Amino acid sequence: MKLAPVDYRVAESVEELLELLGELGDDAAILAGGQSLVPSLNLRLSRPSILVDINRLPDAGGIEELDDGWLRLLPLTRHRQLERDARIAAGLPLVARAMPHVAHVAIRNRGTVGGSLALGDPAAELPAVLTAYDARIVLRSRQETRRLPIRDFYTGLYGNERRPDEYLAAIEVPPVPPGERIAFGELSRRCGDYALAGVALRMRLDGDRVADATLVLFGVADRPVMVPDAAEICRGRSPDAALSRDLAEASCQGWEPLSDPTTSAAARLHLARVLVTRAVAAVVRGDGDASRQAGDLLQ
Amino acid sequence: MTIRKTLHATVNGERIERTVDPRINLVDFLRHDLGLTGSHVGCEHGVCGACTLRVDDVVVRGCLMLAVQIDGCRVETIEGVTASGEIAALQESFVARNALQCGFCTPGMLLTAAELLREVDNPSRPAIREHISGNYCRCTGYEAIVDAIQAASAGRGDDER
Repeated sequence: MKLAPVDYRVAESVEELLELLGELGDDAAILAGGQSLVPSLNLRLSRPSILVDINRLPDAGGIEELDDGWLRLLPLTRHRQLERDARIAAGLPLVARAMPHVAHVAIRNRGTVGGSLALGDPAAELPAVLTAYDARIVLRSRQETRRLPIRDFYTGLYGNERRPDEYLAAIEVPPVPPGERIAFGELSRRCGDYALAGVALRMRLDGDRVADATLVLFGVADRPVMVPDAAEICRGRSPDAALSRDLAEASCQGWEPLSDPTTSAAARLHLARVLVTRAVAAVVRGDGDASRQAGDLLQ
Repeated sequence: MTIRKTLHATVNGERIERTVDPRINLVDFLRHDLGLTGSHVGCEHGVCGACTLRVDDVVVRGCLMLAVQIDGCRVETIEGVTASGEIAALQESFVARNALQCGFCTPGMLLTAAELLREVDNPSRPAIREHISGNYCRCTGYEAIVDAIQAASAGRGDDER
């Protein structure tokens, strides 16, 4: 299908953007990469009266190094930039590892960090890995600039704390402790499809014992799922089959699994358990690839 | 009420100026306003890759950009890269390996493959499959397409030596 009639404005500066958003409120949709918005316009699932194109905002894309090792991702940074950036590969390896799973190259050439986070598709990789990294989201309006932990940002299916007059101006990510291991993986029907279930795991080992762990699941519930007691379950234990079983069990508590005609709630819970087990194995192996089968590593 | 916006762009090396309704997708604009029918319209929601073209040197979905968004940009379609000879080796390789039947996916497939070959020397077969995973072909089963891309990559290496 084709788009319904819609007006179009280019925001040439952040000030102009904030004025427009302040005036137009709910009538406006911010057009960033457009890789989710335009399909929904084509299918007429959304009907804004005006599109505010932010692709020409000056200095709105890229990665900045802040004091104390924080990284700031600017909203117009394309997925493809993240995929290739050496600072991301070194500093935020979960982000680097997640990027090739995001749709296809032509989509990653256009899709933006800000758009992915502001939409918050439950199966999207970026909200999940940035939840694992405890990032904070910077929201700007005419009145104020506020910072929210990403872990408090999402409120439900495609729901978040951004008000219609606000612009997602940056994502700031704290430094990762040295020596941390990670694992990332997802299960989808075809390469580039949305994940039926996905996992992001950070784990710090002290000798052969786990010192700390952060576990996030995605694609399984209405928003990224932080497993609240992951660190408690893992701390002081060796990363073995018993640990991965306990972690898999705990990770299925406290959230409502998505269900659709192809993947039932029970199937999603099963896939989540499988992925958590694979993630622990991937941390032990050291390759971080939780899409691979765990094999007998944890037997 | 019809809304009109003016755009200036370079399409296949030629400067153009047009007035468009903002609801027109880039691929429809290229086909209907400029007569460049080599970019095809398939799913219209970014899944099939038939509308793949290049904007400012990178491949994009022509159905997921609005025509008005190319203001100030450089657009290249299959017609442009064919005329320039840029992908001639890849095209010859597709013919030699019979890597198409109906040809509907071929322009998008070629532009996507050209981006891979520009960035990676001698990509592996899994890397080729991964790279073209966003371009659907309903005729060939992909095997011949992967062969053709691999052969073009190997051929290019020989030329350079």
